[in-house]
Amino acid sequence: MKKGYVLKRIIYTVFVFGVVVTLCFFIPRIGVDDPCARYYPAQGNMDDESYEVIKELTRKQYGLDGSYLSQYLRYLKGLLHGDLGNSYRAGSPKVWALICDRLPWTLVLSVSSMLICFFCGVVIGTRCAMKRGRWQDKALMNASTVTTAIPSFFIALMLTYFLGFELEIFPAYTDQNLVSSFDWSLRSICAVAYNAALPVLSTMLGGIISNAQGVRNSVISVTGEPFIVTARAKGLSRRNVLYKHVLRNALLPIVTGLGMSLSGLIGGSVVIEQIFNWHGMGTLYLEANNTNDYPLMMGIMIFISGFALAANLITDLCYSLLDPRVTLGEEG
Amino acid sequence: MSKALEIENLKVAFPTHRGVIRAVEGVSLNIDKGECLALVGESGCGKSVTSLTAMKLLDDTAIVRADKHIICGEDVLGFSDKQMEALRGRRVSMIFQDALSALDPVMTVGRQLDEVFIRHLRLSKKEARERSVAALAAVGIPEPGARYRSFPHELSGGMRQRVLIAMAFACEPELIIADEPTTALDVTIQAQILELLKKMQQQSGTALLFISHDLSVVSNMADRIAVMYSGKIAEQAQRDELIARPLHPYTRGLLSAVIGINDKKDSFIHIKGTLPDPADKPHGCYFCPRCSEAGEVCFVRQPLLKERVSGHYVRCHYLRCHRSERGEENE
Repeated sequence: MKKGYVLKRIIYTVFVFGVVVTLCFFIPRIGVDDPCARYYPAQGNMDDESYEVIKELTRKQYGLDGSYLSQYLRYLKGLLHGDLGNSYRAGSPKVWALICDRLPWTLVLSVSSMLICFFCGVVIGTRCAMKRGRWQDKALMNASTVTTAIPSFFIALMLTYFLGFELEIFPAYTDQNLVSSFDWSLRSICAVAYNAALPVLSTMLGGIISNAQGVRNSVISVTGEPFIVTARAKGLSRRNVLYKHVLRNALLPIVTGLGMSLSGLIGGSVVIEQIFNWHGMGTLYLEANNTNDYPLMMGIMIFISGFALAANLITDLCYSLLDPRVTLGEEG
Repeated sequence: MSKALEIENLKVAFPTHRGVIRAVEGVSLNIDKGECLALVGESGCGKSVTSLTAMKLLDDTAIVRADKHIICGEDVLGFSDKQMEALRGRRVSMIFQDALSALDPVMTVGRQLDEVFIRHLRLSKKEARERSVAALAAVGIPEPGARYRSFPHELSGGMRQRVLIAMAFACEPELIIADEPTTALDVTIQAQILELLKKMQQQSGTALLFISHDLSVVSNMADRIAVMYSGKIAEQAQRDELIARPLHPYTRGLLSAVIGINDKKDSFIHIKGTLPDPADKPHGCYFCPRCSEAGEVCFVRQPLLKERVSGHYVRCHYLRCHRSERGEENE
């Protein structure tokens, strides 16, 4: 039963991934008759025959020769070998290598922002739940109205202006030597943290508030459960009950949400990365987009969706570890 | 004789947007050591609030006043949270109605039992585990070692209730408050649980405050019965006395609603109407709108709880007695 369920989920995930790959492959090709025609407009001083030869060579070089179907099959074959193709950039670097180069930088931003959001959210949310109806609680409510109304890129701009330009506490733009000079020494790690401060700050503000709000509601609803009275009737202190019974139950939905938000780790901060000129996946994608670098775009999209699908699968399969009432594959 | 629980003139009110709800209005309870007092009443009459207040477990929104509140010889009226915590689970404990929701769903029942031992007896985890398995065995749970690792949802309703009972008796408290411990169970399981509760109580000599809406359940368990109506004690007497000679019309109604196996009644006897809205209680006797025997005075003046026969208290203007002494009227 359980094995069957896991297998079913995996097959389903692979199927969705296949659909994504197909869409990523065909959508950029819609409406483009001959990509080479755009790169090599017909030259006056060249005869048609040699022009055709050049175009054909170019197509071959970029893997655009043959019918769409044969291109698709070739792409799939490469994908099965873990090859996402080559970028159109100078030197034709592997798409995979470009992604691997940028991925850690994006994760530095998103993972640290996610962790801060989670922990601060839990602490603030729990506090507010304890002080239900008092000013702390009301402040959280109002703050969440404000932060949901303000997009993170606006916060980023404000922070850049005030902390970056006016007060000059943090760098408003990422130091461009940061990536090339990074050598795992303490000094360069500190430099990364220093440069990452503003982007992380601007993404985490809204996250903390929304997390805190979720935790607050969850804690309040769990506090009203009868088993909390049982725990108190056993003589456990409020503190003990909070840590052992309330939070353990209240964080179930929060941790699930965290698992789901894993998928946003890579593709979630395109705009923020662009604002701070951060050397991450988001800027890579925008570069690819601006230079019509189709293999790179496809590669990034496929990578992001594959990551999201894997994250969802893992969250699903791990849910029963968090909540013993959930058994995998049980109907209804 | 020393008492396990003494509460005098307990009043509990909840301020709400509809006005103040007076849930409990001047209830006094006395339980001797080893005695079982049953508190009977309809849902919403204030039984559960009384029991939670006895443990000082109501949340801060409630307004609680009492002239006297003594648990196991300790005057807990001015006790802090911390002092109460030392008492709860150790000298006075509680059994709840719905065992599924009264147990933490994400913690094994064994670990929940361990908590009591670790908190009060300062045992190590290993010692607590041994005690817990023994406690599970004592309440008749088969394979206690395996059940120790079960989560609440993996046990049947009866087993869960047994776990709660094991938890309540864990530190051999002097008083246990059982709030409708059998209401959520099948009748057959109900009988088993009552049997177990009675056996455990007699073995350990614990005093029991047994709260129920069901007089037939209570009549097997209790030494004394207190009938509660709309936040007040309506009648209180020794069990046999109360069942043989109920003085309050409400008690009589409850008793005649109990069906015996040999009854030849054609229809169910029920008390007409419902409990008054706690935010809008009637003038005079709270029971008068539903009382078939109410006279004029009942609608004007609230009756007091008076001792009519030795040890038999009743809150009624008229003293009528069922069956044997029908027709006799006082006042």
